[in-house]
Amino acid sequence: MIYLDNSATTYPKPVAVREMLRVGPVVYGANPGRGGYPMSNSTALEIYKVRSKIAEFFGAESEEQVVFTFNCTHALNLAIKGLAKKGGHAVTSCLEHNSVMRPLYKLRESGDFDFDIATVFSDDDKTVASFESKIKSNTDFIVCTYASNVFGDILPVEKIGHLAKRYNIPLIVDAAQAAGIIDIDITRDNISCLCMPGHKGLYGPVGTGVMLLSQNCFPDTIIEGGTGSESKNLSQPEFLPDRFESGTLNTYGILALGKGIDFLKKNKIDNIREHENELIYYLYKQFLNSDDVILYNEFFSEKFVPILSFNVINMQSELTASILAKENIAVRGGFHCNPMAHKYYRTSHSGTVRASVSAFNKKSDINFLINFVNKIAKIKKV
Amino acid sequence: MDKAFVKVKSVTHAIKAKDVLNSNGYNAKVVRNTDNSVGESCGYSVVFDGDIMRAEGILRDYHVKFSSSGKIRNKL
Repeated sequence: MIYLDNSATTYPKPVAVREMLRVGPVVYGANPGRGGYPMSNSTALEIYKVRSKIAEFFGAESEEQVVFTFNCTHALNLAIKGLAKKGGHAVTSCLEHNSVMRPLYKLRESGDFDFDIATVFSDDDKTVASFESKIKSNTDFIVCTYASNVFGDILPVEKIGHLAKRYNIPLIVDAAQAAGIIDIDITRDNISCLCMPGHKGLYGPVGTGVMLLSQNCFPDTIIEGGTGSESKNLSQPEFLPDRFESGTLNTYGILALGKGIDFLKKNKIDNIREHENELIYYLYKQFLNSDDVILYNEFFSEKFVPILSFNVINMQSELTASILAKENIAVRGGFHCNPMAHKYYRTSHSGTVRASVSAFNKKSDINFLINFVNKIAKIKKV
Repeated sequence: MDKAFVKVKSVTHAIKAKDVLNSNGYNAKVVRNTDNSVGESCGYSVVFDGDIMRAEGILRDYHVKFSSSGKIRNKL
């Protein structure tokens, strides 16, 4: 299989990640934070080490700020619904995934919350100005993606962070396509709440995610339950990370995620991104010279994460993706759970075919895709 | 020698407290609370030999939260 759907989940995973998933249930099979026997203690210690790695990797000051979730959508729901107040308001962008839009719509449907949508421009200052123009006196938070999951556009998060700080509004960032690809520091970038999946750019397994909170961000809870702490207290604990970690964690998944972080630290995210950018830029250049392929933006490595959306001319994206699938080339067609971005890029009629790479892809994978796309275009002409 | 303890709210805080104390010359370990001499059930404490006051100061310097401290006269 030529796997070019890494924006959905990275594949393959590093060997150490797979190995931890194999041995985890054997060596770390007890529930952390629930007992005092050796296996529970050793499992809790290993989970703590992963918290430390993640805190350090993303510029958090303390391990407790790392809240483990089951995916990025879970983290975003905790953050968005936890910070939304009755009669409140949010500002978001025109490129948001449904993991942001659906919680916002749900809040709006409650009848006592609203949001406005800022436009993203190629000029970062215009983007920030658009965000600022949407802020109201009752704005509870800004929530935006770090990078579009469809077209790869990187938003000026650091500048939006400074804007949020100036207005004393929390900034929630959906880093689904940025974590592990872009250097993110929640302190430097003034991010109040960084939400990310473990299974994409962090190379962990599915079923893992993180909500990383700054020290001054304290959402309300939307899920309560057993935490292994303060059991006699019927109120949810106030302290982190227990406040947001009710129920048993995905222990082996988290430990494997720790191995994914090790992989990134060893190979360095700048090197991985450079490699991925080279592959996507090569694909972009090849398609740019084709009369049969439609592209939707100019690929500049500093403005985009390594994702390329395209279409074969006069062809629905899902059809192109299904033909490629028969050749064992894994790309994603359709709307990528993001009608907003497709509306903005005027691709709502066709969707797009999205190719996305990881550290494990090679130039030969890209050539394979190019050859088959060219074949599809030729067959279509006949 | 009497052992001392600090009671913490969760296993995360317990491991952090242990690490901080150990990096400052203590020999600390995480224990599950077993009786009222240490604390209530469903919780953890960090047990160590040495100066409690100094240990508390170190934990505060490192922003490690703990709810109480004391000496344990019975062997854990």
